[in-house]
Amino acid sequence: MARRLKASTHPNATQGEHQTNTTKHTQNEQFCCPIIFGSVAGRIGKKDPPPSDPSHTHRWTVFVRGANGEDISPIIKRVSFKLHESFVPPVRVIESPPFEVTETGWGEFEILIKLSFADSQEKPLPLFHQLQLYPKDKDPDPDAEYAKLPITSEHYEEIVFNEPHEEFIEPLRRYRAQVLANPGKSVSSTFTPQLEASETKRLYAINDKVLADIEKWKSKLAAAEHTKKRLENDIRSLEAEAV
Amino acid sequence: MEMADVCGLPPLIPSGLWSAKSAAEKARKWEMSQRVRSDGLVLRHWSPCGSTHTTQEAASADLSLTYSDSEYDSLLASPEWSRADTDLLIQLAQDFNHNFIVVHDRFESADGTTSRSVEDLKERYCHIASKIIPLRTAATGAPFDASIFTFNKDRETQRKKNLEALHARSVEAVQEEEMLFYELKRRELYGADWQAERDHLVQIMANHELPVPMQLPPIPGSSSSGSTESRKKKRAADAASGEHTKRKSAAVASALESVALAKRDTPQGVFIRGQRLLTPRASNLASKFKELLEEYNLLNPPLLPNTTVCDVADEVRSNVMVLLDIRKTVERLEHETISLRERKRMLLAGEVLAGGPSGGGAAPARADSGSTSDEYDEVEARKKKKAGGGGSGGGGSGSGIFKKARFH
Repeated sequence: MARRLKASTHPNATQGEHQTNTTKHTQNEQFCCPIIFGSVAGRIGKKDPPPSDPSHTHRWTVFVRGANGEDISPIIKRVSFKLHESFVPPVRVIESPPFEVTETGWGEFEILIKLSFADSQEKPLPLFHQLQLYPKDKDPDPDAEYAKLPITSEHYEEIVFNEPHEEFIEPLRRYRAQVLANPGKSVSSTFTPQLEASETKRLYAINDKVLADIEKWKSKLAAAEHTKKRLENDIRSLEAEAV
Repeated sequence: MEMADVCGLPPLIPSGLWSAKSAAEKARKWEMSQRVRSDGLVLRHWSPCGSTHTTQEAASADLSLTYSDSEYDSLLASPEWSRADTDLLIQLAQDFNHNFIVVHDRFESADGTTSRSVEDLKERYCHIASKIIPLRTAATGAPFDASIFTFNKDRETQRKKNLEALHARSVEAVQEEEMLFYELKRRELYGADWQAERDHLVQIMANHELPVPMQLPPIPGSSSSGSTESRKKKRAADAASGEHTKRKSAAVASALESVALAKRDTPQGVFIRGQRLLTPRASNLASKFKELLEEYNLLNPPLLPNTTVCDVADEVRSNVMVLLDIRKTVERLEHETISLRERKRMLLAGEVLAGGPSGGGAAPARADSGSTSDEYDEVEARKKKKAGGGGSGGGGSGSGIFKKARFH
C-alpha cells in the first residue's frame, strides 16, 4: 500500500494544531491502535421510519471504532467516508466520535475510508470496505427469515505508530493508559483469540505445504544442477577428445 | 586477435566494437601531393596533411640496393638463395617499385625448380636491406630505421592461412561461431550474476529457517500471548539451543536480503499492519509472487491482522519467496540445459562428420529428446573406442567444423 513519505511533505501539515516544523521522531517507541471498521445493514421494516427515497430497501451504518470499544478520538482526528457518487454529498467527513455514517439505500458498493490522525504531520491512511446489504451465498429473497437479520461485515486492522513524532507521544501515552485502565470487552464477537488461533493454524498449515514444496523443488534443483554439470563435463570431454 | 588465439581462427565478428568516440574524432585533412620520379614521370595522389608517409615511400621507391661480390659473400650468402636468384629479386623489386605481388609473378628461379612464395621473397629482400642499408648510411650519417625492414615470415604466413581458412568456412560453421560468440558474451555479462544468485540460493537452502520476527512491545488489549507460546515451542524444536537459532537467523537475515524482506526495516510513522505484509522488493517478481500466493490460497489478507498472525503470514510469505527463488533458478537451469544439450548434439554431429568412415556406424546427430543417460553412454562409448582403437582416425579429424568452432 501507499508507502508514506517524510511527514513534512504532507499537505495538511499547516492545518493541524502542531504548526511547528519539528519533524523529530522518537526512538524505539511503538504504539498500536487496534480498530474495527465495517458496516451493519438491515432491511427497513414497516414500523421503521420510511426512507427518503421509496426505492431504498436497507438502512446501513458504516463505522470505524476502537477494537475494544475504547475512544480512539485522541489519536484519530477525522474520518472521511467516500460513498457512492449517487449519495449527496458523496464524501462525509466525521470530526468527532462516533466515526460513522448511517444511510439508506439498495445497492452494495465499495466505501473508501480515510483516517486522518491527530498528528497532522502524518499522512491520512486509506481503508477499503465493501458495503454488504445482502447475505452472501444466499438467495436474495426478501421474505426469508434470514433476510430480516442484520448483516454485519467488518474488518480488524491495527494502526501502528512506529517512532512517532515527539509532539504526538503524549496523546499516544494517554491513549495507552486509558486502554490499560479500562480493559474493555471486545466490541466484536468475530475478532477473538479463537480467531487468532484458527488463523495461525491455517497459516501454519499452508506454511507446511510451502515447506514441503520447497523440499520438492530443492531436489528438482539438485537434479537440474546435476544434469547441467554432467552435460558440461560431457562437452568438455568431447572437446578434449577432438583436439 | 584473442579469438584467433583461442580457436585457431580469427572471428568474422569484430571483437572490438565501434565506439561513438572514434566517430566523434575530427576528420583528418587530406591534400594532393605529387612526386616526380627519377625518369621524369609526375605522380599525384591524395595523402593526409603533414604525413611523412609520402616521403618515406619516396625514399623506399628510390632505394637501390647494390652490393659488391665481397659484401655478398660475407653478409648475404645463404644456402637457400643463389646469387642469381638474389640479383633477380633485387632487380625485380626495383623495376616494380617493391610491389611484391608483381615481383612474385615475374620471379623465375634460375634453376627453374625452386618455387618461392611472396613471403620468401619479402623475407629475403628485407634481410638484404637490413644488412646493406646500415653500411651505406653509416658513411653518410643518415639515421636508419631498422623496423621498416623487419619481416616476420611465420606470422605473415599464418595470417594469410587464417584468412584463407576464414574464406573457406561453411555457412554452418559461421552460424555456429556466431551462436557461440553470443553465448560467450551472454556468459561474460551474466556469469557473475548467475554465480551470485546460485551462491545465495545455496546459502538460503542450507538454512532456510527464517529470522525470528521482531518482538514488538506488548499491545494493550490485544490478546497475542496464547499462540506465541506455541510458536516458540515450534522454534525450540527446530534448533537445539536458543543461541544457535539466533546466530543462524542472523546469517539467514543477511542471506535473505536480496529476497527483499520489505518489512524488517519498519519505517518511521504510521501504517496499517495488515497492509504491510512481505512483498518482493523487485517489481519484476511481483506478478509471479502473486500467482504463487494465489496457488497457496494466501492472496486474501489475514482475517485478524495482529502481530501474531502477521508474523506467521510473513513467515509463510518469505517461504513462498524462497520457493519462488528456487523455482526461478530451476527454470533458468532448465533453459541452460536445453542449450547445453543442443551444443552437445552439435559436438557429436560434428565429430561424426569429421570422423569419416570410422565413425559411420555411430548414431547420427541425436535429437534433444534423447535421454541424458543415453547421451552419457554415447560419450563413454566414444572414449573407449578411441582408447582401444588407436589413433587411426584421430589425426585426420582435425578439420571438422567442430574444431573450428571450439572455444574453451
